[in-house]
Amino acid sequence: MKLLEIEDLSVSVLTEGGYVDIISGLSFSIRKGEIYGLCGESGCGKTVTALSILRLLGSNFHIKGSIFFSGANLLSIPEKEMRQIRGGEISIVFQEPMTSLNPVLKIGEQIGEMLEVQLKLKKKEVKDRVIELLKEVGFEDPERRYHQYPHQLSGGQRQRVLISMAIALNPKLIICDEPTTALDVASEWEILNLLLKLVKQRNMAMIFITHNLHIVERLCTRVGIMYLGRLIEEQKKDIFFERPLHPYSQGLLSSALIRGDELKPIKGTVPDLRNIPSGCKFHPRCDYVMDVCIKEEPKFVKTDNEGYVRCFLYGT
Amino acid sequence: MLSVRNLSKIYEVKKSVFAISSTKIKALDSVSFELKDGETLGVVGESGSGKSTLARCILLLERPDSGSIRFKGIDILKLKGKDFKSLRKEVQIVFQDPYSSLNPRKRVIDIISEPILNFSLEQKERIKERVTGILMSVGLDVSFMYKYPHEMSGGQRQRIAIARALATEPSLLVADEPVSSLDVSIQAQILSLLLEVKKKNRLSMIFISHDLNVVRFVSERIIVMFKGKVLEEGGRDEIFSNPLHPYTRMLIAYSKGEPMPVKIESGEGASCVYYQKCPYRIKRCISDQPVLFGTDGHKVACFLEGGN
Ligand SMILES: Nc1ncnc2c1ncn2[C@@H]1O[C@H](COP(=O)(O)OP(=O)(O)O)[C@@H](O)[C@H]1O
Ligand SMILES: Nc1ncnc2c1ncn2[C@@H]1O[C@H](COP(=O)(O)OP(=O)(O)O)[C@@H](O)[C@H]1O
Ligand code: SF4
Ligand SMILES: [Mg+2]
Ligand SMILES: [Mg+2]
Repeated sequence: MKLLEIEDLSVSVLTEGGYVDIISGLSFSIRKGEIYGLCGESGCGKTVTALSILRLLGSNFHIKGSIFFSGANLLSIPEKEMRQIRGGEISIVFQEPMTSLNPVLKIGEQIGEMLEVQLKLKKKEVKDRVIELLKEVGFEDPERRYHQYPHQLSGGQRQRVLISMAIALNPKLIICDEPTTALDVASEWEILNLLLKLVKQRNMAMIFITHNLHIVERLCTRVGIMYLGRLIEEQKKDIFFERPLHPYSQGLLSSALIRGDELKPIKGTVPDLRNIPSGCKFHPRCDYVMDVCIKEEPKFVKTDNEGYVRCFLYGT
Repeated sequence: MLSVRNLSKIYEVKKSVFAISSTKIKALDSVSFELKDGETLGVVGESGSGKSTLARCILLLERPDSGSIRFKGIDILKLKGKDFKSLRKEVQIVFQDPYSSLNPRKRVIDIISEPILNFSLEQKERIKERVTGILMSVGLDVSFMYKYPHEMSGGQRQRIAIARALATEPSLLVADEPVSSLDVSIQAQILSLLLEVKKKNRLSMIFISHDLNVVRFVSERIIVMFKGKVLEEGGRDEIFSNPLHPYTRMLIAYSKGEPMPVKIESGEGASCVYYQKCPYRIKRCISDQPVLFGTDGHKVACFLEGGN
């Protein structure tokens, strides 16, 4: 069953030089219980996609398309309803936990404040809930943690606090935007395991945003690869790592040293959004480019195995 | 090529601006290793393990508190005047962040020709030719000659940093997290460029990174650092097929996506630097500090492996 369905999403932003397209014709959906890895290099539009789903983009952004969640189009419901969904039904964890936490409030109070506002619980009930949550995200001494301030915790511990806030209201979907990028490997590992456990136990779905294909391979059930604001391939995890279809996907896997000892770098660099190429947006860097690739943009077409790819090598 | 013996460096850090007492951080604690001619030594360890301090000491950008560094047989910590300058020509570095390591007010031609003129390696009239050649060897065409750093992408800036390092025709290149701030497709380009120039210029290389995958790809030998100490040292394949230290085992398990034992975080003040995180720790690790021991091919600092 589809939990979230994004259809033909386009986002542009107003800059000094006029509107610049950031996301173009993005379509994908999230089913119950799955972990969708949204992957791509910096600037490809991962964070903007996440912020579009939660309607957190500023007024200088222009959004088109639709984002269906539990039957409602999130892009057209009133802000009051959206506030219920944010945190309650869909929550988000960002990369830098320090900036998402209030430095002068105790950990327990921050989590509690949120429960109080949203659930209108009594003080005592709130505290019990907070302690339970802290336990659930792996703190062995939740009472002590309750009274600590953010700066007294390590980066990994702060990220766990944010995760506890993200699950506090039993969301159906949790979006994690590069939640471990700032952590050392041991803490990263811990956070990933925690997320896996929570998704299973609470039967949530997750969109895991990352530039790190190693993490996608470990964590996700499906993968979507973005390039210049477009999805260029989407596959079940195993199929993707076994046989990536799009030339860009193939280049990324080799660049990330995923399959052994061959390094075949992709040539060139990601173009500026104000100056994107004609036709297939990857054509200036592609080793397989054909005439048609320069003239037309390939569509995002179905492949075998319920996947999608945007490349003329696989039909039009 | 390079022989580092018992290198130590301690920083005193005040806990706050007003604090009277200060704490001592052992950025390097008796670090020893050898680098053979033409070899690439990978230095891996999480942030704060002392990797950059080691790089700065080798480059003579910083003086260690004790220990020795011999380069081609010469004790470089004792060098003065002309000899000191000629070492600068022989050993070059590429840093992580190509933006802050390049002077923003200088054009590419000035950045690259500065060390060449400094060491009188070329006459002024022929400098343009020389720079063109170096630019080409790092995959950039002449159109970059008159650009400023801010007019280039991160990957292009890193190419310029490599070009500057190659300009003096060094025999040792120290690369301190040279790809860590780059996107993965650009990382791969810079990695393959480094390997290419290393081969072409017959360089020896010290390649520093927190990313075990990358270190594995470029290095022939690897040292694993943690809180200023070398915990394990050995040939690349030996380290990966037979990791001995619990920290190395954790890093490798992680990079392969294998399950790991639960992480522990307690026990401050123990002698072994890894005690606080070690799932296999024993009593002795609290009171004694294991020293690096073993064969030339593989050394480890851990009591579980029979260390002293
Ligand atoms: N407020 C903004 N104004 C102008 N451009 C923006 C703004 N926010 C994001 N962008 C641009 O949109 C693109 C996608 O950004 P983002 O979604 O943050 O990328 P990612 O998360 O994949 O690294 C980038 O090129 C970025 O520069
Ligand atoms: N100039 C300095 N003053 C004080 N402490 C320092 C200085 N440089 C490094 N350190 C400390 O020394 C330790 C090792 O740092 P560094 O060599 O930068 O490690 P790495 O490069 O492995 O991240 C860290 O704890 C760091 O905070
Ligand atoms: S459509 Fe053409 S240019 Fe684009 S990825 Fe496929 S083959 Fe390459
Ligand atoms: Mg982002
Ligand atoms: Mg460093």
